Amino acid sequence: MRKQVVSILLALALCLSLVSVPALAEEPDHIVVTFLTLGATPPDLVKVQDKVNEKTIPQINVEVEFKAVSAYDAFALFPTWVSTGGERIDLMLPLLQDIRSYVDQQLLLPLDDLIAENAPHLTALMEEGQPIVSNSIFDGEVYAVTTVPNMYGQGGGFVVGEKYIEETGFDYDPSRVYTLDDLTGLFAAIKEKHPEMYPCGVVTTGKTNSEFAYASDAIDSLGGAPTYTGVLMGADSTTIVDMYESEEYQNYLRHLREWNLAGYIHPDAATMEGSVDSLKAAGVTAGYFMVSAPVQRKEGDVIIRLSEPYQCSAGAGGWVIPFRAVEPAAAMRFLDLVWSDSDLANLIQWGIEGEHYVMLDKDTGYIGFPEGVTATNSGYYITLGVWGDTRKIYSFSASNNQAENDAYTEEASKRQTQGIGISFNMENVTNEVAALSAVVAQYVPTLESGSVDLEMYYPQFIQALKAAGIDTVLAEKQAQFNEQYQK
Amino acid sequence: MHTLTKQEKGVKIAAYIILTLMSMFAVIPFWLLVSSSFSDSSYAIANGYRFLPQKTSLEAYRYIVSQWDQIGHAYLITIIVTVIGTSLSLLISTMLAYGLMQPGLPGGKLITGLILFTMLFSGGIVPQYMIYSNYLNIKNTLLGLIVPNLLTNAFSVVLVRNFFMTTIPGELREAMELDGAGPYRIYFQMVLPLSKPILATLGIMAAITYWNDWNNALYYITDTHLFSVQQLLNEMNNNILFLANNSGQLQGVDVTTLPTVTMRMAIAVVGILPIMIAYPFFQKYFAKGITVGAVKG
Amino acid sequence: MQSVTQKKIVRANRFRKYGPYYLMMLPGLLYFLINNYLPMPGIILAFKKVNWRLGIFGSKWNGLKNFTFLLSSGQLATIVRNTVLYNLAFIVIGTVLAIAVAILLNEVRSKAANRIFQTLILLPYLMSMVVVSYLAYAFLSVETGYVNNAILPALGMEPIRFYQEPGYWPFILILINTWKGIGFTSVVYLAAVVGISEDLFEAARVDGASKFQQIFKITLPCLKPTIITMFILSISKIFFSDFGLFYQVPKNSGILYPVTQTIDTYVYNALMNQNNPGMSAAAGLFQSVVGCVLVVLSNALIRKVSREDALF
Repeated sequence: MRKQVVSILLALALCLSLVSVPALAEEPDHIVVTFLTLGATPPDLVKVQDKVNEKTIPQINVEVEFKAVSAYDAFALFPTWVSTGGERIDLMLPLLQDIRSYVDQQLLLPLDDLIAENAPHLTALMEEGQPIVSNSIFDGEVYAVTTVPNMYGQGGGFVVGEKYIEETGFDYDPSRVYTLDDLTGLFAAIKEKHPEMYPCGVVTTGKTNSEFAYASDAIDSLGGAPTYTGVLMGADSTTIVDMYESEEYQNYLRHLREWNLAGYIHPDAATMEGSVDSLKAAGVTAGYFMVSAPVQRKEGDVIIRLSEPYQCSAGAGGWVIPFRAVEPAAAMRFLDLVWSDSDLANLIQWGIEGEHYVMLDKDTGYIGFPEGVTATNSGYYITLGVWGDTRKIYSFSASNNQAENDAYTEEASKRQTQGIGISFNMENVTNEVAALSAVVAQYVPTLESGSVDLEMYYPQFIQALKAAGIDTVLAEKQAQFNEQYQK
Repeated sequence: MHTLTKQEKGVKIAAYIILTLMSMFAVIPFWLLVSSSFSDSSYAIANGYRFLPQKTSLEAYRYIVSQWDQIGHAYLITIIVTVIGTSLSLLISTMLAYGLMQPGLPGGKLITGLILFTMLFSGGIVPQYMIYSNYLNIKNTLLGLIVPNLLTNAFSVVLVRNFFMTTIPGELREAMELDGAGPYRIYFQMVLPLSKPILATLGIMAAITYWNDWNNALYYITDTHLFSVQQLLNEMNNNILFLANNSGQLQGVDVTTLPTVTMRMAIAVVGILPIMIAYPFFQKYFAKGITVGAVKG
Repeated sequence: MQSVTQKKIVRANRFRKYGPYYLMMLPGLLYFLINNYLPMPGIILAFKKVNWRLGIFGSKWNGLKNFTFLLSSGQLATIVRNTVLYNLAFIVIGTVLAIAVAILLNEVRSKAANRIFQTLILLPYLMSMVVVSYLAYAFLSVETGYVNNAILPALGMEPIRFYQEPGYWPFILILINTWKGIGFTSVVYLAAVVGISEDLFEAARVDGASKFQQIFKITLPCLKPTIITMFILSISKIFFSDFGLFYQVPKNSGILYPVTQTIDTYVYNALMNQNNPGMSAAAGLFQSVVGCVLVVLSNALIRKVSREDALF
């Protein structure tokens, strides 16, 4: 009798404990994740956030709170936020910023252990060879996770409206590599047909770096360090050189100058407002220099290649966990889920299907707006692609498809620069880098708009670089390269 | 009233002519701003702005109407912050100045010195941000727009103190004290009403500071519901410039949804109008005049 | 013993007398304490190699290394010269014109006209520098600019590439700065001009003083304290510059740098690609210290010339 009672009690207890597991489950871990916008916070962000939590709470016990930050604020304010702890953030994306300086100031958590313990999918992606952390390893520790790229590679290119190719009868072959002289011919032909146009779209207003990489063969500046700190030129090179002194660069400047004088470049190219694509849309220019990857092509455009595609070391960056994060493990679990679950990634990227987008072609992931919804009135339309595995993210453009991207990656992977996996630490030369940065801001936008006499201005530039200590930086970079290259 | 001499008449006429020219000089660019806000944006990109819009378009103002939820709200924020901020700023600085003007106030000189010293050195934006955000929690509240601008110019305190010293009649004060009035009553019933000229001057300075501020807002306001008009405009400009400068590295970003230059011009116009309309109402108090500087502590 | 109690009584009386005033001063004083004095130790960032996990105070000292980037540029002389000369020009031209406008405004007795003038002249002050830079561009650009398309052709002159001709910019920048600021500064002087007792002018008129004599003998001397105060205030900011004016208005055009680059724009360009709180704190401290020294010096100078006009 007694035994029975005991066993019944035991069974009961067992049942109770089984039943009460979900009820007793801890509150989900709450994380704050930055959500980058182009300025305006999407009205339906909270709605999407609720949908996201419907997935994340049951699956990984994480409740996500998106904190909307505009792209510029992210650039201007993240260092202050993170260093002072003025804003709570568990997971953030310092867009287009070299996170090296964050690491130097100890603002970020090293991610190795967090990934190993919480992120099986990320680990698998890394083992697969996806470059999601490889550019962000400092002193042996991983500090950032980037999206899985839909395409890995770059190369010089000139994006131009197809109609101009047809009008001028330019001998266009998508895989042929053209020279700057070929472009001169094209510009001349366009200018002849449209005397009021400036065929070559160049706007250098406020630019702080060179755009030479869009018009040249392989260039690698080691982990996204600025190009004025020295680069490897050519896929096989192991010598750090001053790009600005190279014959190729001088040739580029000579062409820009020639085009400017011939009226192929807008006379206000160094000072005007507006992006090159808005000028092209307004019919002022016919095209512009850009990475030759297929994703850069808008409808009605073709890309004239100026080099073979190649792969090089990319800038450090991606999603990071600040050192003051309250729930770093939960943040990593969330990252892992978004990177593995493409439905979730698409939900965050494009919103709710049927409400913010409709599927037009399931095979290529081509989507469009639902009836009555446009880019301007949509409650959720953010085109910064910063989430998950971008190979599986849908696209609003019919002209892009993953097959093309894969082909480009494949092609580029055959030409890898020697700088891949190597990153430059500027710590010992901060003064020189600061001075060089100011020199480049002074000379490069003017020179690369072709608006000044090279005879006079170019030697000044080179001299200013020397005075600012470029040789010291080159030597330091070469030394770091040699050391890391041997490993 | 004496009759004007020939020379005085000449000066008066010259004054009208010169001021008219200066006003035109100020208005012409503003007119260009208004005119460009009524232009078609693609046309403006290709052909620049004209004093008479060549291809008129209401797209910019249609945009403002369509975004009125945000822009109108930003307006409201700007107005609330300007009114509260200016009043608080005046109250705090005049009370401080009134205390400082008391003859024989122990530590008065030291305090004046310490106040003036703040104009020479600052700890920088990061430490200040730490104090406000970590200890005082004014981030993303209206206080975040009000507090950092309260006494941006320590000098105004000295200005008010000097004004009090030269204009508050000692006899009147003694008479009120004999009637049993305490310092607070004297301050509110006599000192403030007599100080309208300086209140108007400082008030306008403070109001313009609040109206135009975006720098503090950048740090302390990240919630778009609390954006002021200037911050909204500034954010748009910054983001557009940032995206244009980095377009090569941001593949597939759709910039067509961003406000065009003409839209930003329209917001600038809309942001300037209210303060222009309000400004003349303050001016009548200037008639009494103030003197900056002079009396030392 | 007795004297001690007396002292206590004196103290108590004093407290009763001044207590309420201290109370009135309290909000303002607290404000300066929190807003200005509490963050001030942050100045030591300039001497630190910042490691945020250790905090500002825990970070390693970095000597004067944070300052050297200013020197290593080889541009220090140019940027200091530009900053100082522009500021001096702004002070002199701004003051003279603001006083002139204030005096002229004072001549306009019609209330309506006076208000209209004041409001219109203030208009540019209400525009942000970004907007001003668009407007300047609308006038100065080669392709679409008003000057090059309407004015110069009408005069039969060749177009000018303003953004590539440094020669014009000192003039343009001073013009824009004055145009933008005059409505505001003249308010300060107007308030002082209005405050001058009418009796003084009446007496002068009786003595047969001309209008110009009145201006030079009465108005200007009465404005002297205001002018000196405003001057010393501007001197404290002589190493600082309006970033928008020197960066956005010339469109950051490099070829203009010899005449447009100031300390602030240089620091911005130099540190743009590396977020380095130590170096930016160092630059700020450098600017403040120079301003502080100059204020003390100019005050001493004024004190020597005329004691009662010195600010402190």
